[in-house]
Amino acid sequence: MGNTRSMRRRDFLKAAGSAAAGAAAFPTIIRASALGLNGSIAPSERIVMAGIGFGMMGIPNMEAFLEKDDVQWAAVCDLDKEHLAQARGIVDKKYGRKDCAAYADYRELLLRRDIDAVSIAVPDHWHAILSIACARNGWDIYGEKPLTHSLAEGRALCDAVRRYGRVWQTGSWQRSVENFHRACELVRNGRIGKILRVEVGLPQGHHDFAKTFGQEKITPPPPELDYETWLGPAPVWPYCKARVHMNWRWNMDFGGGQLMDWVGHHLDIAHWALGFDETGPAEITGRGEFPTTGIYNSALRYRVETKYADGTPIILAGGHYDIQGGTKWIGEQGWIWVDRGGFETQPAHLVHEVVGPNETKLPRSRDHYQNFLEAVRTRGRTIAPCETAHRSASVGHLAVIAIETGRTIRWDPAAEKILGDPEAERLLGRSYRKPYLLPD
Amino acid sequence: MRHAPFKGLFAAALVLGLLAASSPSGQRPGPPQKADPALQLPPSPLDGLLKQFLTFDGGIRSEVYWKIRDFIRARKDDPPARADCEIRLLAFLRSQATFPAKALVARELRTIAGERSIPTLQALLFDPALSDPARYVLESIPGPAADKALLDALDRATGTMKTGLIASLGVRKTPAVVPALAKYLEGSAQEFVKAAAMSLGRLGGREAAAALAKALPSLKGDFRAVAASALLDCAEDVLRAGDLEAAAGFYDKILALDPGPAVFRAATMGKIAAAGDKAPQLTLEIFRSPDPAAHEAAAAKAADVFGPDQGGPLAALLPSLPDESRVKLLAVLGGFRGEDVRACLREAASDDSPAVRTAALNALAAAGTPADAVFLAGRAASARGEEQAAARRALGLLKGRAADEAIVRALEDEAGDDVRAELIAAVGERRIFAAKTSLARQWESLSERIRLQTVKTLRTIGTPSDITALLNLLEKPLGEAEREEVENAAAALALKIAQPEGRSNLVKARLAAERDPARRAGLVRLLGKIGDESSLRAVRQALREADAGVVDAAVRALAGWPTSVPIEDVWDLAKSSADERHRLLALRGFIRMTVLGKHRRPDRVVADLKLAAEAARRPDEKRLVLAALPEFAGSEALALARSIGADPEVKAEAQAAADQVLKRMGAAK
Repeated sequence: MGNTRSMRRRDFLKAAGSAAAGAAAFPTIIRASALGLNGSIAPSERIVMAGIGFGMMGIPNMEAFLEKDDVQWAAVCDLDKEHLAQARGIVDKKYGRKDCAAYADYRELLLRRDIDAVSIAVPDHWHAILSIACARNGWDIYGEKPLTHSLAEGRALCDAVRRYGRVWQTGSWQRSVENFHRACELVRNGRIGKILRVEVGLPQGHHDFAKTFGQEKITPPPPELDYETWLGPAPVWPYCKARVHMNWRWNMDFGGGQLMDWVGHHLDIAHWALGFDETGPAEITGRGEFPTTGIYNSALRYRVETKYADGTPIILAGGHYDIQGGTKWIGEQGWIWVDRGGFETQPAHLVHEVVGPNETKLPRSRDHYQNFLEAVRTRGRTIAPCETAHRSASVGHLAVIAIETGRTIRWDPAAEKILGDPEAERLLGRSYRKPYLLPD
Repeated sequence: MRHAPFKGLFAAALVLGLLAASSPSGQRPGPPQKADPALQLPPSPLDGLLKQFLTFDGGIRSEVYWKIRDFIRARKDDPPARADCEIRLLAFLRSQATFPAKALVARELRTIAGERSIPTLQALLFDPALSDPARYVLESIPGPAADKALLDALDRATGTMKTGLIASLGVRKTPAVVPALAKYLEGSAQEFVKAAAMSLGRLGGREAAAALAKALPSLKGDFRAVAASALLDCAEDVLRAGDLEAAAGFYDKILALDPGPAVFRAATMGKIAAAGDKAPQLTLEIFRSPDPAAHEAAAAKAADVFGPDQGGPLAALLPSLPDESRVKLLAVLGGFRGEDVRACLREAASDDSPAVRTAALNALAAAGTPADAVFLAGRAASARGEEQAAARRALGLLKGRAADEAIVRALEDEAGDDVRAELIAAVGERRIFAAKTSLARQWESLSERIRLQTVKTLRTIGTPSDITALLNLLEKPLGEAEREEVENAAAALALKIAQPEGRSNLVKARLAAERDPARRAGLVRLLGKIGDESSLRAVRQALREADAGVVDAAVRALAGWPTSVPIEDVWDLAKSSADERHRLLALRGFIRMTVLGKHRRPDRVVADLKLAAEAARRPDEKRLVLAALPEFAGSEALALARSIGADPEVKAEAQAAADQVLKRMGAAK
């Protein structure tokens, strides 16, 4: 950026700030994503995307974006050479070329100036650092849930996304599925009357995503994996295969167990129906059962009881069979239950009802990825924005703290402070290993 | 929980460990140690647990850690017991325990540590392995003593240890540490500049902001970018505290230094927020400038700055903006009310730029009124692609019952077929049940398009009571597409009947009375679409009729039956039909129904698929079998895939199916 341009900007803002009328000649910065266009889209007008992290959701997310005509995938980044090669291979095959850039170090990716948006799918303990760095770089972000690894990180990320005016879509894709959308609209429009109680059933135990259960022998990390960077800001744990790819989720230093993995789905849906997207509970109590051996330390079974400011209780549970999987709102005039592939109501006829245009309509999306791309073009709001994801994740973080301390947590969702419990307050943030800091 | 008897030996072992331990740099860690407080304590079961934990390697044998954790958590709310635990954990940190063991013990210490822990932790700050766990605990101890410990260590530390300490001081958010951090912004040691800037940003507040603003002009490149971001963070604190003037000053400092686009937009948004009462004026001024990046910032703040009825001045600027800025402003204008805004949106919806037109239509979805209904229907009729979708969405979302009434009224008056078709579609989208009478009149239209759309809409807002009217329609001469649409609508309405066995009653009654073969064929097809088991007898009878059209309809009804109930019928047809088309339809139906039985034992499903494979004559039939096999992975599926692969025309597909089966078998193990 040249001096002339900066002088004009400076002069203009100075003048405008003092209410002077003259408009200066601002430079024109044209981003590839500036215009939304119909039909066939020229490469120069596509949204240029990159991806960070391809060990789990990164590949399917990227493949979904690659199907979109208005996306040009330019770069992939992963600290595992095998993941990186696989991701690059998919992009190159799609375009019939061999020019997808590959980076082992995300800081090199951040130097690129042609990227509009990024898809991030890395272990939870890296979410905040990477996402804030990308927001600061002026990139829009499709990120995975849970939003962050701690409540304090979540606030910092929401502030950064707002501050830099970025578009954020969380991978809480249930919002883009018809059954969930319809269920939420029915609840929001009072079809079952005043809500008496909400039950959110989540999975229990630990799932062997990577088929590495039992591979707990401490060994040197394999040459393809930069384990030191993989650990990043998290506390040091010696390498073993069961600790890393996919199954990191069961160690609370890298993930948050089933509770944090799913709170961004079924509780997010509960919040959506109740209009709680930008608030949180006032009280949280929880208990959990943990493994007594092995390398994982996230709860196997758990039950969390919350109460919101209007008195609505929301129960979250994993492995408690009185709570059905999915989200169930119980009202004075019936109930509505929704899960992936399941949608039932009492009275039964509600299941066919659709709210009319004269009732409260929730934002509608039927393609989570396209919804993100539209927002990137129009600078509009996605169906699962950052603050919303932070609020569903917050309930999970507070639940973990309640389980950890064994006490009822009193929470001020406006100020985001724990009331009257300094010990619990200490757990709102996580310390970072040197030399990592959370960017601004 | 039972514990081994403790003889007080472990406390002694800890002290011996302490004496043997020294920091890797050879320095004696921290101040001279007095007699270890742990030695003064009576024996405790915790000592036994800690002793067992000395050699923990971070792997699978973590049972003892959970016991230590439970022990401490059970005592943390009892001050004397808590202090007892704290002293023993500190002694453990000074012992020769392994790093993973100390790291986990430090984690437990974090929940109970007080000022007593500070000397031990401060000493560990210089241990390369334990400085992080020690910092984590110090970060969580309230009060100035912990700040002082970190600050005292800051000057002595080097390399990443110093970076860690800088980070911890930021986390603690104590304003008193600002000068100590600020000196690293201007120091010669560049490795700490970014850490100091980020830490000051995290710390926040006016003092940190001032330090960053002072250093900003002297920093270059990425150092300046990091410091500018940190200053943005601090300036928001100042703004939240209500000091608009100071915040505006900080934003000016950033803007004066030609920041990158992201920081420029953020600072511009901040400057608007800090303008207070003058924010609307500043926003308009920014839109009058020619910089799209500034426009983007102004658009992002517009909804905060202007009230919902004050969008007129913004809308008035719309024509003067470049397209990309118009798209962004239009996205915001939907949130404003008023005739002036609406007029601008309608004008923009007819703009030369497709992107602008689409954005305007999207905005009308929120800002439109019933008076826009016909306009939107017109745009939906004339546009294509994304623009057409936006117009339809806007028409569907117009608020108020008056919008429903406007649509129904227009339906009666509108002469053009294209617009009328859009209005009929909107009746369905908006569930305007009161429009049924008007809709019925559309069936008489000369335009097939209108009639088709009417039936589609009835499918949405109709009830089982409308089935008779649809069956009456089927008695008229209809084109193929229209007939199919009417049949589909009748089937959809029949499926709304709660009792499954009664869904086809009306159709069965018509079939019994109908003599015209073509109409009989249509009714048989309809029975297949409804899929009511009670109508199977009638469909089977139709198979034996003389008219080829009726027989064809019966075969299609059975082959496309939504459940697997008539699987035996379709298998018989697949084996014995002399008509090659019917044989093929039936075989495909058989394979589909076989696969529907996912609750069945896989080997039995595969046995049925094997029958289908044997009956298959063409490669595409065999491919259908192969495609189904991986769902029922097992040795039988594998053998079948391999045997089908003997046909060279499907060898590749058979190999792929076998690979999938093997993969799933491996995963299941």
